[in-house]
Amino acid sequence: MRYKNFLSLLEQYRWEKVSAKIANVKPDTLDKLLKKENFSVGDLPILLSQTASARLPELEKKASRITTQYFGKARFLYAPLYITNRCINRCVYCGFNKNNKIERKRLSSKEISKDADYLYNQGFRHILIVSGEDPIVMKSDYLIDTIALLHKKFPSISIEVQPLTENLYRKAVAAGCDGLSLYQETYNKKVYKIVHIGGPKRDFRWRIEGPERAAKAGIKKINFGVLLGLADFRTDIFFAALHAAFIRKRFWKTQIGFSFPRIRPFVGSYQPTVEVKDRDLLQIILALRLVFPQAFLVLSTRERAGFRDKLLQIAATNTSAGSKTNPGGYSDDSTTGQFDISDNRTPAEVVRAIRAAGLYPVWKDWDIGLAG
Amino acid sequence: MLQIAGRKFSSRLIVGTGKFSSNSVMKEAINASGSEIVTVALRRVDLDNTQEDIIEAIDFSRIQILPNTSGAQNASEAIKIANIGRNMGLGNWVKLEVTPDPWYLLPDPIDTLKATEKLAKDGFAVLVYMNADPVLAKRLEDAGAEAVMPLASPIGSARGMKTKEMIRIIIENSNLPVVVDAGLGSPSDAGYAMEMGADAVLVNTAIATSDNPVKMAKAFKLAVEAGRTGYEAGIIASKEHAYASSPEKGII
Ligand code: SF4
Repeated sequence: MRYKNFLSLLEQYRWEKVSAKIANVKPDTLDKLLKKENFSVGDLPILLSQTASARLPELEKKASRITTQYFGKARFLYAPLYITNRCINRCVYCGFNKNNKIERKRLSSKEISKDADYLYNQGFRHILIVSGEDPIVMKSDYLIDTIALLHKKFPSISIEVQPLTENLYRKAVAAGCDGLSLYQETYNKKVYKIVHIGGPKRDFRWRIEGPERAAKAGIKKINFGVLLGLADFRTDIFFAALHAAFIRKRFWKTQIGFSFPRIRPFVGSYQPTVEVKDRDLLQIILALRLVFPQAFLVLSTRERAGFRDKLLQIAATNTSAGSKTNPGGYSDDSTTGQFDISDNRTPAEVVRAIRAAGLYPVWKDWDIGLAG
Repeated sequence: MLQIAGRKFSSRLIVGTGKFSSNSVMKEAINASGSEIVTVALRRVDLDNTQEDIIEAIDFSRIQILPNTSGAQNASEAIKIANIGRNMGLGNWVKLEVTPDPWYLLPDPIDTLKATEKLAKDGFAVLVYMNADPVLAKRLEDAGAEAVMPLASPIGSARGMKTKEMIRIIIENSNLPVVVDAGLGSPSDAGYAMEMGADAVLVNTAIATSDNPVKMAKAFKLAVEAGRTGYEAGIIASKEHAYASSPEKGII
């Protein structure tokens, strides 16, 4: 059936039912599934189940073979660039939360250039622009100008900012933006309301429809994800995958990917309600690789060095390195970051580790000619 | 000898560069393959970053570089990238790839044709990645392509000569060199394409991602040579049914 938008597809599902399905997977069902060669989103409840978590080595073998088939030995590097930590939202899990008394900073174009030069000299050619929900983004051309400024040097620019209007996404594309990261945080509406206690982000619908607006506007790569630790992650990942699969079929020229942010310590007191262990994260990544052989699976420096190296070897394809999560952090590290970094290696050290694993670090995988 | 755009080559194996574990393995594999044409994704080329650059690893004196437009989703992007490559000093050869669907990377016939017309007019030697469509092959020939490169099966799939019936017609009808591209998983696949009369084959994934890329490059080299030699010798028609070579009659 053809749904008019993702929300109407989502409404066909009940969270509890999906959770129950995942919780009640029989070993026989899994056995049968693992004999298959190709997997679909419908197989995800089985692949994400507790039952399947006992079979990670098998999943790992398949996932690693598929990754090699589609990506070869190439692994892609990017760097986040935080441009403003002003935020009008009150997300309980985040250090930039409006209620937190931290120093607020919005970078000027000069300051942005300074960080950008630093990253360029490190070797980066793909920049992810990150911001809090700073109203200036909606009210002015601040973001668009920033994209245009960075695009002069960097062939590939992605954004991780609040959901934009279709028109703003269009302007972003014209300025040189090719990628979007927009995580729903959780597809559980109840939990969503509980953790987003104030600000425009409370609007579940505006956010969930963001990827459709972006795809319509011509953004070429869209990254999906949930904040791991907010709700039952198995169920949440299923819905993120459903979302990505919907976009892929509807907007057939759009490339999709996934990120896997786990809640990290930050300024504030929120404790994750659900623990997501390393082996859980591994299972998520393996399951998504089996279902989406060609998807980008993206790591951040929230994860520890050794674990990141391992994930890159098996199935993850993109990684940041040497990241700072405070605006201006590459040139002046005095303000507080959005979350703590676990992998403190320099980009050069990360690249060395990638090479040591028999993989090829790719800094540039996009051309100016492909954007805008 | 293989002849493309006025240049002659003794090797009929073209190799890709996208999926190797390092430049040194790539270099060794290229050497072992004997290949004289090597394709490079322009979107990966970064002349500002010499330590990481693929171009640095290729010996221009011996090898014709074939920049490709992978990543382009329509004609105008492909044309832009091709020009960027030429302006970088990479020459006027281009492997045209227009793949709007990021999943199977299947080529768009309409925009591929448009871009071929434009690039040929602008003085490029255009080698065109295409689906195995015999009519499109003729249209590309009319549009000024220098070679057609029909896919054997989806890129990276290692499924072999799935489109062989169409490729057979393309070879029969074409005045241009036919290079079988994408999906050749094993040396025997490449040998088979050559026995059918393909002028050359292009291999990337099967070499780059094998456990021993250098050895595999050599295996493809041998298979391509064997297939070509067989083709030139004139392979006897395959039989529809198997006949026992020593009939059983009279044994009992
Ligand atoms: S998660 Fe984003 S929107 Fe929410 S408080 Fe943090 S920066 Fe603001």
